[in-house]
Amino acid sequence: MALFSDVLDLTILSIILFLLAPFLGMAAMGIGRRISARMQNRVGPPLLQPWYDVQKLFMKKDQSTNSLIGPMAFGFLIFNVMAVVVLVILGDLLMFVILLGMAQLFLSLGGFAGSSPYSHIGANRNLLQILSVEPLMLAIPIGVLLVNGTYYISDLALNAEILLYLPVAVAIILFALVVWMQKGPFDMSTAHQEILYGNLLEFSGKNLAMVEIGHWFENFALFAMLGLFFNFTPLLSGPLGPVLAVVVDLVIKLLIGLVGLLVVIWIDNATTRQHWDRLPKFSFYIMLPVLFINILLIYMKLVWGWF
Amino acid sequence: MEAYEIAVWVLIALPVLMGALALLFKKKTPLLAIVAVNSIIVILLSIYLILALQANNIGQGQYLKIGAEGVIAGGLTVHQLIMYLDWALLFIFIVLGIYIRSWVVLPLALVQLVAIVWFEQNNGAAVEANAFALDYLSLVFVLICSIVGSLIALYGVQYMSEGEHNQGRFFFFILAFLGVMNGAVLSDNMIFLYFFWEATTLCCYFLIAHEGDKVSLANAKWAAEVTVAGGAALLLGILMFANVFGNNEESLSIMSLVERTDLPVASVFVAMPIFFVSLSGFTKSAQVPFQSWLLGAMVAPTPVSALLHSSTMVKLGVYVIIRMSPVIVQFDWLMLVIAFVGAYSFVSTALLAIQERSMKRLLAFSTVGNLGLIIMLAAIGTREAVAAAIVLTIFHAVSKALLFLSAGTVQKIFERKDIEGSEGLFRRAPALFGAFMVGIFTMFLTPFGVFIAKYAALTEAIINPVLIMMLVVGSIACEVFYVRWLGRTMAVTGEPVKKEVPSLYTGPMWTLGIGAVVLAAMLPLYYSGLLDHIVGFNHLDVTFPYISLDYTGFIPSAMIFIGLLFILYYAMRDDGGKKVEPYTGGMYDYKVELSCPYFEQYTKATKNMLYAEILGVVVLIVAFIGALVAGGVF
Amino acid sequence: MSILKSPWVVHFCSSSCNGCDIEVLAALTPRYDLERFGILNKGNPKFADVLLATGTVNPRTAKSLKNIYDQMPDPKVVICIGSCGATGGVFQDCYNIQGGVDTVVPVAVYVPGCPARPEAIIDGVVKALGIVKAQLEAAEKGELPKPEPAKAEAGGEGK
Repeated sequence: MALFSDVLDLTILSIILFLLAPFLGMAAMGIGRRISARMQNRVGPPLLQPWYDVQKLFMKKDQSTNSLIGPMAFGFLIFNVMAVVVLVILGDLLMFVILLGMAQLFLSLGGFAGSSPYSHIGANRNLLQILSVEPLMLAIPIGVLLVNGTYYISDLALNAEILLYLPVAVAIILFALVVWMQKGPFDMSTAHQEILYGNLLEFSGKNLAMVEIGHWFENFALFAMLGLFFNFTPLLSGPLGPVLAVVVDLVIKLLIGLVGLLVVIWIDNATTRQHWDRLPKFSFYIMLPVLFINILLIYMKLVWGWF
Repeated sequence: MEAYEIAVWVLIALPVLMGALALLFKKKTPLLAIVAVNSIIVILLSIYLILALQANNIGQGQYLKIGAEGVIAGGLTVHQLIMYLDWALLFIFIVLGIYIRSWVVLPLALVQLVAIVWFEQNNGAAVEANAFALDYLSLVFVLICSIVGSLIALYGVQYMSEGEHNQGRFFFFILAFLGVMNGAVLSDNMIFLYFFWEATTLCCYFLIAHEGDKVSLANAKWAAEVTVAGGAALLLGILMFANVFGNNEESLSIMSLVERTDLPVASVFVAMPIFFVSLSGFTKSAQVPFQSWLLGAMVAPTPVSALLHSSTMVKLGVYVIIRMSPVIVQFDWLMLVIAFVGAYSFVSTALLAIQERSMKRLLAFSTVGNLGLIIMLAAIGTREAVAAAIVLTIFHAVSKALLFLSAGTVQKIFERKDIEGSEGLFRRAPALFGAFMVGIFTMFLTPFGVFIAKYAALTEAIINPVLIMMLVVGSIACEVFYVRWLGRTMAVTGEPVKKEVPSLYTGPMWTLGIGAVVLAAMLPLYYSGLLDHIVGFNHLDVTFPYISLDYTGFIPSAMIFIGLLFILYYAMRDDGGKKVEPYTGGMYDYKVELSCPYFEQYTKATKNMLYAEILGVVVLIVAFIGALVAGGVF
Repeated sequence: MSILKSPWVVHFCSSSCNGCDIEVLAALTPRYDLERFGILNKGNPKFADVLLATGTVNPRTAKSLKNIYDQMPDPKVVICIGSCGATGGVFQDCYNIQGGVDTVVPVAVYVPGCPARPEAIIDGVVKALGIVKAQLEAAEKGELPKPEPAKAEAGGEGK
């Protein structure tokens, strides 16, 4: 397969995508709140509300109980930024997934550093979240390796049939989105009404702003990963030419991301918060066997050649 | 005699002699002097061996033969000396078996003594195989043993001077162990390896039993039983090798074994000894279902846990499997089941560790898991896999020693053995916290060595779908309990009382921490060359068919991590300012007490350990059958 | 001023009949929809800019109120809701009541009513934000120091 770099000057694309990333993530949160409000028969905040929130947070005084909270917020932000960097240079998918997971570990550490009972509960629940979501996410690049032969996103983006081989990836990414955007039945680590933002409790001021911006990058990363499984560049590059095909493909990925956002918001509004041990049970008893069946089918077809 | 040959002899014999010298002293200062002198000499000699290998242009698949011609004294050759020492050692085991009333040690030691005496009478030529061999793999283990071992011994001097007893005997066994471990990894003659192997078992018994109370003696007895059984399996494998390859000088030489490309692959007599030697490796490295001896051994003083049960002795088991990897990989079925044993240990201990409250037992679970990962990588046997196995060995030794030393320091200074007791280390002992944080981060964060090995493991495990599932679950489970422990040390409640930490604690710890970071930074320099120089891998040229691991991606991670360290240092210095209350729902004058859930109701430890062990036995039986299948019996 | 676009609220009830609390929560419902102004009810003082204090103050809740107020990061503003918050309301002469919220924390806006209507609460929040804006602008220009309203910081002990 031709590498992406044959098709387009990668540097410009990477820089544009990286600059757009936080804004697209912010838009995801803004649109999410608005659609959520409309679903609840309200008007909802303006679309730029997350931007105002972060702007306000930067002018607040820092009221941290522990000076380690700042570095942990920074760690969360910077690992998400690194993950997005790996994504936009079309690099290694496994590194990308691992970096996203490590960012969540810093949120847990921030919760522990908060030194209050609520933040400890939230931090421990965040660890359970990581235990539930991350193994599934880690299996996706390995599935891609089996199908494509490499981890590189540049090769993945040129594979139009990836969804036929790894359909469970869409379910896993939506599951990860629901959990990491703290929506829906699984928002246990920052359960607002119950443990008052759990592990984020003792963050304030610019620490919280860094966490918010980190969430923007994280949203962009996850929605982009969802879009990576819907590739139309190979099909379109014939009739439309390479550059236009990539542009149309990116627009389609944007729409796929929007659809994913709608699904997440819909799940959020349609369900209630579950008891915290439902999440590991759901992940280990339902998602993990489904993943195993998918991987086994890939083996049967591609590696052992049974059909 | 070449200079490097003298160096090898000194590396093996000197620590034993220094240990004997230590028997005479009880106070801290002379013991410190002995340990320091030993450390300096041993480290310098190990570094000299690197230069010796390069000076002799040891290239692909070559090694330095260190023979043992000539007589030592009174007409006694080295081979005869080791033979008599071996008989004496087995006799000591028989006496020990009677003394501790062990129905495993006594008969097994007796059987081994009879077997080896009979074997050596009837196979005189095979016993005369080449004595020692030095190649880069041995050198890696010698370096780990010398440098990490010396740092732990220095820590141990301070540790044992505070309220412990029998220091002289303790340091005799510690130093003797260092020498004997060097001997084991430098051995070319399988009989020598067997002797040094059993000698480490002996040191292990006396070190675990050091405290002398009922619990220690019971755990030492169990450890001796499992590892002596492993030694018996090793001897059985050696005897079968001699049977296959005949009564000549090449049949018991490890280097000759791994260089063989003409193995009769469909021969059960070649697959079975490999299985038995691997089995002995599993017992020494405490893989499931043999992990309980290592968990019980945590009652020993912390220097013992750090030295024997994480950095060096248990690495002897994985050394054997890495060394035999070119041979294992020629048997598809056997390779797969050994990989399964390793991966299964990895995932089961990672999940079991989540409910562990005691610091040292948690570290023991993690050790077993990482050793399982090394075994899996060594069994898969491609270039990248074995290179990753060696990288993981190095970095795991360094980081795990650091973590054990931290646990021991908390135990000594704050008198708490559980994770909840290490709360607030951030303010109570900042120097200790800094080193501990580096240790934890190097265990799972990118761009450090353990992470790189896990990355390689995830990639190499695609030979089998079940291996993939085991690895993805295990990798994440490993992060969970480490993050929880680090988080507890960050949490500060009330007014923490700062305590001084002696420099003999923080010195070795910071050396290990900085070492882990620096070694990881230099990794691209030696990673690719690592495998080219190790015996047995050059001609097999088993390349991983999918990708070549490219590490330029880790440089940004390294830069980010260094940036994070600067911010953390700055945060740690900023102590003053108005104290902000944590949120407690508006309750005032509230003494905040924090704790973590350990999910005991979901992972009832004993019951789950039993299930894990039963499943481990099943996996081993499958491995045995696999060896028979590989050998063409079915 | 971004604080005007995104004021986050923490609601604390000290010793009230809960009537005003119900009205505050009603203001968050779809009928009045405070979220369209960016107002979110964050129960965590460390996130919040505005403290909605309802109810009057007795010695025990005075300490809790002070605790919550101290945890809020600057710039912050307090709105007391209802006549209990202003003066003590119907409980004014009780043995344990020490008065309105302004005996403990500096109050910027008093929203009258018993209970105060949601529209009045929204009006009060908007007014308070206007006060914050004026104060911050004046502080920037250097004209005024950050002002202390009348009975500010006046101890927490009862009468």
